[in-house]
Amino acid sequence: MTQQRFEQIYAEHREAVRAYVRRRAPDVVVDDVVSETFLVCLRRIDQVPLEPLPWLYSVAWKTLANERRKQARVANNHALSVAAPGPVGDGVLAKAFNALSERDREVLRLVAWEGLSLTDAATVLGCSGVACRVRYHRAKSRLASRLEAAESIKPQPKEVTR
Amino acid sequence: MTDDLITRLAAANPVPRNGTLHVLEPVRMRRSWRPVLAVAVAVVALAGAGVAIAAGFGAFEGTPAPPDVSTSFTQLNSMADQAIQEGISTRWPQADASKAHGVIEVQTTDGPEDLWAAPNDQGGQCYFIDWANDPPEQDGSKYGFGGCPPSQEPTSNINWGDVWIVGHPDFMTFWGTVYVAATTVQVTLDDGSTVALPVVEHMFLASLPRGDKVGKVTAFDASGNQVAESSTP
Repeated sequence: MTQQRFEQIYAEHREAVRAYVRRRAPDVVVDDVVSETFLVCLRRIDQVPLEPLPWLYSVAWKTLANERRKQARVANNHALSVAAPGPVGDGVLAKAFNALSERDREVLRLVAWEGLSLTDAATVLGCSGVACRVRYHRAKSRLASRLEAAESIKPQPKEVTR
Repeated sequence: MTDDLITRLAAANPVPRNGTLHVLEPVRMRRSWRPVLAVAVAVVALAGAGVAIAAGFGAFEGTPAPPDVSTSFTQLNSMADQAIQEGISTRWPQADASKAHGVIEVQTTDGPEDLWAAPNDQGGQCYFIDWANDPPEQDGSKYGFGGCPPSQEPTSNINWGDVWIVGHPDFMTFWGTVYVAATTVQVTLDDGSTVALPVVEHMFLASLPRGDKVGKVTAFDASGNQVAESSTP
């Protein structure tokens, strides 16, 4: 039964977890983080909720955090955070998004990129539904403000003196 | 405006959910998960011994492994190859089955549970855990599980795992590795109770009552100084 459940979870959610990690980390660590995430899943299979994906994201997030700490310790650099992917194909949005705190970025990623409800996002973030909702709206508001400011900066006509 | 903002952000997803990078591959069922699971469990942690803690472990340490256990290490090497082929891992050590030996034996009401170890080609040890009174499998191996802990120490300096097997449903095997010099580990369960285990060849083992949940593992050196700690992720 345990084996069947793990096999089912792995088959159904492997790609989603892999995509989740790829949105947050450079390719070089993706395989290790995904493997570690499913190893934790296997080890704690009796604690995995019926809807496992938010739980898997939560484990992957913690695994990524551990990986970042390890990288920082070993290489004394911030290679992972520097190389983490941001929005593509929209330079203004990418600049505004990357200027947010990681806390703001993560809740926005979960909703916009993983397509999670705020209830599921709260599971991933380990906070209450209310706290997650507040966090989400504040993050969205901050992104909107940064974007509005960036887009309001338009080229000014040069003053010509005759 | 802000809902449009989320739509705009979703469109800039670097790994689109409906794009080629995220399309679900056709589900390919594995030929058998048993070996992969056995190896996968192994990477999580290392050895262990039950609540009937390591009675007489000193006599068991160094005991040459019987043929069925050595065969199990050989199979572990094959499983490692399969795990690499299946994409579960990119690197996995190979154990020297000829040097397999006993590390810890714990006594339980189901008979002794044993932790065996064999040096591997990456400078570490692979391990195998079985129940002494279980008969050998038809292929000459022993029913049990094992693997090779990561050679690179985790931040906490401790790896551990827990698992139960069908043949011994009343027990949860709890095992692990300490990556620094330690003589004992203290296991703190979720109900606040603690269990002390000896560390032998950097490994520990316990047979806990099934249903126990481990919250924290703390390692101590011979002087009683705390040298490592790991909590449930």
